[in-house]
Amino acid sequence: MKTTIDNFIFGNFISVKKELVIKMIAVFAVVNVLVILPDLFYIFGEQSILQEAVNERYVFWYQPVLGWFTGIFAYIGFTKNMTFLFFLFLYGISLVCLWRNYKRPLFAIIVWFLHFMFVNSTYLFSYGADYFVSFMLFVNILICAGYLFNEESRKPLYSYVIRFLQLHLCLVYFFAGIGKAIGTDWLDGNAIWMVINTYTSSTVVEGSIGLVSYPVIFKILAWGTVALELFYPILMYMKKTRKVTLVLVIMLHAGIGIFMQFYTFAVVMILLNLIAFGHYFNWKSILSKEEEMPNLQLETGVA
Amino acid sequence: MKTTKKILLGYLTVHLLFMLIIGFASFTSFQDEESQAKLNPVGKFIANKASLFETPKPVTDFIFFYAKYTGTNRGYSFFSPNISPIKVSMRFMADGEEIQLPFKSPESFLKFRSANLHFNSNIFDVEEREVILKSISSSLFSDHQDIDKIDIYLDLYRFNTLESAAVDGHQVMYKEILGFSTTKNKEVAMQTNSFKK
Repeated sequence: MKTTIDNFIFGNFISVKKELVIKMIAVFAVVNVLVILPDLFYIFGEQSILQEAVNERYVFWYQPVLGWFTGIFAYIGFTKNMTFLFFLFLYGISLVCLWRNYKRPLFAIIVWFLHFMFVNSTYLFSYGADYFVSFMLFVNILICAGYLFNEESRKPLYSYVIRFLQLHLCLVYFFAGIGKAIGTDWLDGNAIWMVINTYTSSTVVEGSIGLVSYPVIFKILAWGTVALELFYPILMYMKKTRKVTLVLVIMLHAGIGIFMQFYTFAVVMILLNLIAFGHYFNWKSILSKEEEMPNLQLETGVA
Repeated sequence: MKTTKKILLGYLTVHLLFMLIIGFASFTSFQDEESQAKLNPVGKFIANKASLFETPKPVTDFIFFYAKYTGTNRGYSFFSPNISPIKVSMRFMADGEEIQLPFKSPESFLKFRSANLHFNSNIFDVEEREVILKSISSSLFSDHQDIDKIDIYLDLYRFNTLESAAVDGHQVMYKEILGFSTTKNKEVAMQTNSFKK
């Protein structure tokens, strides 16, 4: 039992290349800023629609916010906007360092801290996607922490982080599924109809109106979503279902991105799934070199 | 390495345990009568048993602290257990013309929508409501120096259910409510009594 757990957690050498994962996270973090670039000062700056004091009502004393630093930076003549730009610049530089493999453990912590501070400073503007980005940057710290150890220890440590992410995602989807399964809307298909009405464009709504005579379509979509999320922990580890489950999960998030316009949420969830389970696709170019190593007991037995 | 592995395994166990506690404890919010009416029998059972996952306050505070720092504090029950048939959006008017929010990117509008949802769910909390409206108005006043009064309308859309739509067709009930007015000195006045509980 002890050996099985040890093998499962520390001996999973088939995964997406660490280098590729860190670079994907760094690129995503840049794009995450670029998508709100024209509005940065209306979200973070002096002319923010929801000012600092409003957002800070909802954060605890131990959560870092830009306000911690604006007072200090004011002593050297920095305005709030300048302070924000300074941290944004630091964020960018840190991401470049991550990409260039320069002191990765240190810059992974800086990137995570700054993102966490940005999210706290705009509490009311933050939604699910921002918290998943925070979590992804936290996982990035764990990945980069491997660089603090010798070559021999890095492989089991990376295996640990991938398993950490996999198991975390299993709980994420399980709770997303169970949350839907306890209501009534997801069982009678009404949830899909309401999502279309309240979250999608008028084109999608108009296109769906003709389908209301066939409620079974809405039921299949709703049940499919609930089943996929609820049984994700099992389906992702069964050899026969894992690949198709990964494809379906990616399609689910792509659909959320395209139709509900939750682009950031869709991309971050697809990315997390690919980091955790992307090796199921068996694309040689993205896999770690260690893939030729003998497979694991649990991997062959369960997965 | 052996000690490191033990520490890492311990941390993984604690992390997963925290996630289980956060996940199940979040269902305690469905224990009141009004919420129970929206649940199926399995849901009612889970909501009533969720208290088993409640922890003493110091432990809860620590879990919350950890979850905040790892970005895992908000739980994962997205779009559940049901989806509201009502959509509410804010509209800002001055001198009979609509004032557009200054955002250019779709992602920023999505972020504002998140704030809008928070506003809607706290609409009966006078202090909360005024703080948010004053902040938004203040930003709009500084962008539009020529105006000194903003009327904030709430556009309410209520959609009929799938079952009803199959029989009666797609129906949307729309209601425009002049909710609040703000003036340049940041005074917020409630215009109607529509929001009394």
